[in-house]
Amino acid sequence: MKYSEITIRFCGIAGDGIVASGKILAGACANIGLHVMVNNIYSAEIRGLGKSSATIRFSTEKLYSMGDGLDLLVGMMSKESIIDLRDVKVGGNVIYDTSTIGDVAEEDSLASHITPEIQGHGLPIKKLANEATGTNQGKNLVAIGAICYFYSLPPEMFIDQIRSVFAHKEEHIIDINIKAFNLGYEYFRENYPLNNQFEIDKRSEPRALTSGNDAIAKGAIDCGLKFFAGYPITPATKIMEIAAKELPKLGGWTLQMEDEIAAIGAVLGAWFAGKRAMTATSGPGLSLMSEMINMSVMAEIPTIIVNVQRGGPSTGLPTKVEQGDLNIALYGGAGDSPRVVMAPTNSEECYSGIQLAFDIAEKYQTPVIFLSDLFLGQRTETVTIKENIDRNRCTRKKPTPEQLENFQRYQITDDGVSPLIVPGEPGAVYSTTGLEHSVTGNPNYEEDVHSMMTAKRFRKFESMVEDLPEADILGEETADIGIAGWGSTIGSILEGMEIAKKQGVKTKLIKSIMIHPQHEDSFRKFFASCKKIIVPEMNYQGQYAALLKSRYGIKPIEIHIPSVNPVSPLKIAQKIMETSSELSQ
Amino acid sequence: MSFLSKQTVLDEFKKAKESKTKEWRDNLPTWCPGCGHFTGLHGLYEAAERLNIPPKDFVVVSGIGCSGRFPFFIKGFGLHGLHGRAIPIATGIKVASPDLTVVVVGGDGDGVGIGGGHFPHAARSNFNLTYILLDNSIYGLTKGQISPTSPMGMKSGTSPYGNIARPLNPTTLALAYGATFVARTFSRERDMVSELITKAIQHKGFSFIHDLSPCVVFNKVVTYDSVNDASAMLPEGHDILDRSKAMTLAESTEPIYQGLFFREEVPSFDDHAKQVRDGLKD
Amino acid sequence: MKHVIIGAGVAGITAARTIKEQDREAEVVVIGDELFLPYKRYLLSEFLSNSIKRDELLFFSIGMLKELGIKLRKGEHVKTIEPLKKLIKLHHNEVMHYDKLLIATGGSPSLGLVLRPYKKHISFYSSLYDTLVLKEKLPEIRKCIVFGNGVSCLDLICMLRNLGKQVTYITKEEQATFALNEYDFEGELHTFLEEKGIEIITEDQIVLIEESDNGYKVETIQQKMLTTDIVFAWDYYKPNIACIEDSAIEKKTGILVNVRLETSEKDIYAAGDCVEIYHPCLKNYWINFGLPNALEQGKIAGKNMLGQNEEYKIQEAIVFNLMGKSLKARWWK
Ligand SMILES: Cc1cc2nc3c(=O)[nH]c(=O)nc-3n(C[C@H](O)[C@H](O)[C@H](O)COP(=O)(O)OP(=O)(O)OC[C@H]3O[C@@H](n4cnc5c(N)ncnc54)[C@H](O)[C@@H]3O)c2cc1C
Ligand SMILES: Cc1ncc(C[n+]2csc(CCOP(=O)(O)OP(=O)(O)O)c2C)c(N)n1
Ligand code: SF4
Ligand SMILES: [Mg+2]
Repeated sequence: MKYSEITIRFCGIAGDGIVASGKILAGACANIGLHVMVNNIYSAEIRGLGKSSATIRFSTEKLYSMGDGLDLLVGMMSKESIIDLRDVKVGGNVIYDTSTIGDVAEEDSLASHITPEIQGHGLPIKKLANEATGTNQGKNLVAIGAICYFYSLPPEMFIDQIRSVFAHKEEHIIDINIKAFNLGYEYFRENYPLNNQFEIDKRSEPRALTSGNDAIAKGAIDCGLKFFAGYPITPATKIMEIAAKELPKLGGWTLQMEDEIAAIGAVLGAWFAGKRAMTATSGPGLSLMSEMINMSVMAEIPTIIVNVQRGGPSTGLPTKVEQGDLNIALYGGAGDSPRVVMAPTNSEECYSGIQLAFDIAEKYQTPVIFLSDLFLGQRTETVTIKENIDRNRCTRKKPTPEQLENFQRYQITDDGVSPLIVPGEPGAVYSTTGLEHSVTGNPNYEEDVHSMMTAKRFRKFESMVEDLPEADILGEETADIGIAGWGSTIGSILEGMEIAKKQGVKTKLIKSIMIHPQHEDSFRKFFASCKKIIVPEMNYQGQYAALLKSRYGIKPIEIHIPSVNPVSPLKIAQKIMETSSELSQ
Repeated sequence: MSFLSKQTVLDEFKKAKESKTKEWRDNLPTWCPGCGHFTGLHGLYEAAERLNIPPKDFVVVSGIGCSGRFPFFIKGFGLHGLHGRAIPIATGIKVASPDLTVVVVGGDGDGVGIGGGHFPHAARSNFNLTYILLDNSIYGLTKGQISPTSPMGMKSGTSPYGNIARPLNPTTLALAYGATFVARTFSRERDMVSELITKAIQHKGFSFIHDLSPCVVFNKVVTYDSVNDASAMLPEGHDILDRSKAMTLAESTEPIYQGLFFREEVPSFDDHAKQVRDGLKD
Repeated sequence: MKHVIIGAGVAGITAARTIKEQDREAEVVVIGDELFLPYKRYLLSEFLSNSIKRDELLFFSIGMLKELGIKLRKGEHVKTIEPLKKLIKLHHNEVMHYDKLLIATGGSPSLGLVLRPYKKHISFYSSLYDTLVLKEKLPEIRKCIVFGNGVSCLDLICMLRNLGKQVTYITKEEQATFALNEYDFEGELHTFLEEKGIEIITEDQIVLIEESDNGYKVETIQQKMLTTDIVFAWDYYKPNIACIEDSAIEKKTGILVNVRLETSEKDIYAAGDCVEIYHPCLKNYWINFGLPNALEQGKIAGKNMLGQNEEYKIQEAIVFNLMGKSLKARWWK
């Protein structure tokens, strides 16, 4: 077989080195210039017993999603991997351990569940690992060695990668791991000499690997993040960890607070003091933050909340992906409480988008909720991020000398944005409040003051549109079928469109990192040019579809996938094909 | 020891527009005449004046409650935050801009009720903040419901048959949480309040003032008189470095001791953070 | 009733099919250690020389397997059998229970003491896997050396020659007979092959194989030094019975069975190239190699596993197509 694209999953439990497997394989592939996407899944939060898996997709072409199905499943643990068999493609392969100690019951045996359309390959993983390292460590490398042979990938790339992943370890550790790799490689060469070819003739420059969470943290730091406060929560913690490591080096700081209310409170405080600050959380945390988001709206204190969505509601599915937090992001909170909602669709947008979020938040004195999701946040992929580093960036509207004279913190202006000074700056002082207030910031509950102030707060959302990027329209301009999507689902949509295109069905897509506000004209024009509109998303309600329906009066075909896994491109392609045949009837 | 009638305080505030603390005076307080919170505010004016804190570098953060109105009455930067959330907001301000003088003010409901989860962490982190808790053992702003510091048996709209739970003692909490400056004051003792607030602001680290600040409208059990009758100054020669002795004295309800219970000079959060940053430079 | 069949070759798969066709309810699991769907071994040469496509090798499709309700576990090897507990153990320590067991593990070429050290340099030709490996190498191969015996050896030589390769056949015998009954060929096989351009070295055998620049150096007992691109060699064709080694199942070279294809252990049957059965004319046990036998035995074993009582009758001759010439062959020594 000759492949130009392969998807491999390692499946096992803690101690099997699942995540490291993904790293090594992905690293080696990225180094030879392949496009790579890695998705790690932890089925339980508890490390000791939980199963985890790492799925690695690599290709000679750019990847937008995890695709559909596995070419190879590596079951480091027999029983735990059985359920993953259903993801293996027809004609796909499985590697299972033939050296487990003790008897395995038929129903617990991975091999016994392999159907004839899939090919199993026994590999004495544990035995070879012990031979190399004297312990069970190195199991993952035995498997990687076998894979390297199986797809005739260049072994030297892997050995380099092992060296770099274990760089902080002693030389002896590196050696035994390389030995484990070699044993796996040799075992397959001897027992399954007939291997597959992977088209690596299209070698190119090494590519950098990053995750959405990494990109958000880096983007924020590069545009002047000075303060981060957070409370650990899967799958957002990584952002906090990066901030904790990097900010002190740049004179900033990261605080782990006692809860998410405290975290967003501290972030508001830091912005009040004039510093770029943010927090990152997931559903349960975002729920706790809603009162503080209201405060940010009312007091017009900028704030940035990265919400890496996981399955909900409540504690929900901490390690699974869903796009279920759009409604709380858009509407969660009391009163008329407008906020900016952004949703990056890939890692590049995580980087550039978070920088835009800071500029908007600071300039328009508003909360920005940046909706990533577990899949986008945790997956690693090869990307080309255009760095934009300016750690002193500031978009705050400062008062003119005249405005300072008789300072009105909530001065009524055309664009709704009032001048803002921060503690420590001379010229004026003010107090702010979450109570309705007059132009000076003093509490005031009069009817006309409230309506004037509410209008002012909403006016900012009209004036900010000019600073926002236009929506992207992709695909075939003349297509009758239009798709509107958001967030990480876009990747699967793009691949779904590609599948449909190969079947001769043309489509086009409108996407924007801006969920609210949007460049509404481009959406209106786009929708007007479609005979059918499809809106796929990873939630039960169709939260984005609901927004589009009420905003643009469209009647889309909705695909609701309350998802625990990234959306399958095939599923989207199927809907496109169905829609197309309806249209032609 | 100055002894003030209910009305005099408000009158004095009206007249004080020309006093030496005028630079820090803003809107006239809106509290009921005789409210204990006047004394705390007065103490803060005095401290600002004594320490000559430039208003541009002075930030007062409050929660919600009658006590929460402080920021509007003080010239300086003010943030009238959310109920129970003054401490984390102040933390963000202070950590982001360590050169500012940041004072947190709130009520008993605010500080050990709804916001009770923040207090321990600010104390143990030794953030360089001053926290003044104005304790009237009642929810004043919402018109008189029991609070976490209300005595057992106290009746209110939401405890018509009497309060069943035992009260919290904010002074002992602060000591237990590891605050590095812990004092209790009584709003009838204006000089003591001003004196200790000044010291608290000077303290490097987390300083806590538990100000017994009666609500003259809604609390018929904990009153100026009831507190006054039980009041006593801390014994002469109390060792302010002895946390456990301070704890024992703070627990006493007969008498209710006032004064500086505890103070220790240890590196504050700012000192630690600076050390980490300096370490990263080379 | 759980029928477990070891070996997904002709005999095993025929038995599975027979069982399922007669009893839809029966549970049938076939365990075969080859990676592929059951295929027709005797057509491998046709496949190798591109006269048929890979699909045409198959006994049946996945769809058919599903339709029949046979559970096929391919690429899996049975390590041991415990007749008393009615258990078998697979290579990865999986333990499986059976009610009726059929051993249909076939046979394979094996190396003797002299050749075993050179295993790395020797190519085999008895499975689809071997064939696929060979198919990849084939374009680069010009010269071949074949050492071995049996009809599959003859098959290999003819196929290589048909593909235009230069073939040297080494045999221990005085003549190239491939253990076929001479009567049927009247000694003309040797000459026939030589006429077709195959070099035959008789009364000799390989003693050393070494890798050389782009091939192998082969030394024989007669101190012939040969060079070649590929070496095929085996000393004998042996029933695959390692899995019964530790059990009480009676055996000689193969598994001993009676005419109902029952082994010495209860509920265990055997069929195909792995069995030795009593030959009334020879008055001895013999191994009845070959496809027709495997087919027939598979069918009978399947029926008997379902509780019927059918007897196997010795079949002797098969028709064999040799380079366009139809031959009648007997498959025994
Ligand atoms: C190249 C070649 C050409 C041939 N051409 C002809 C011909 O033209 N005419 C003819 O009549 N015969 C021919 N034969 C012989 C014929 O193919 C065999 O006699 C026949 O396949 C025997 O069938 P079987 O089911 O007994 O064994 P096999 O078909 O060999 O099947 C046995 C299977 O069991 C598997 N197995 C063994 N041990 C285990 C274990 N422990 N666990 C799991 N699986 C196991 C083996 O891998 C094998 O797949 C040829 C043989 C070869 C190699
Ligand atoms: C989340 C939330 N819940 C309830 C309230 C209503 N509320 C305002 S002040 C207050 C109690 C104030 O009591 P305390 O903190 O003791 O201050 P005091 O008024 O006594 O000074 C309450 C319950 C609120 N503002 N926010
Ligand atoms: S209600 Fe009580 S606490 Fe509030 S202002 Fe009046 S006296 Fe003070
Ligand atoms: Mg109170």
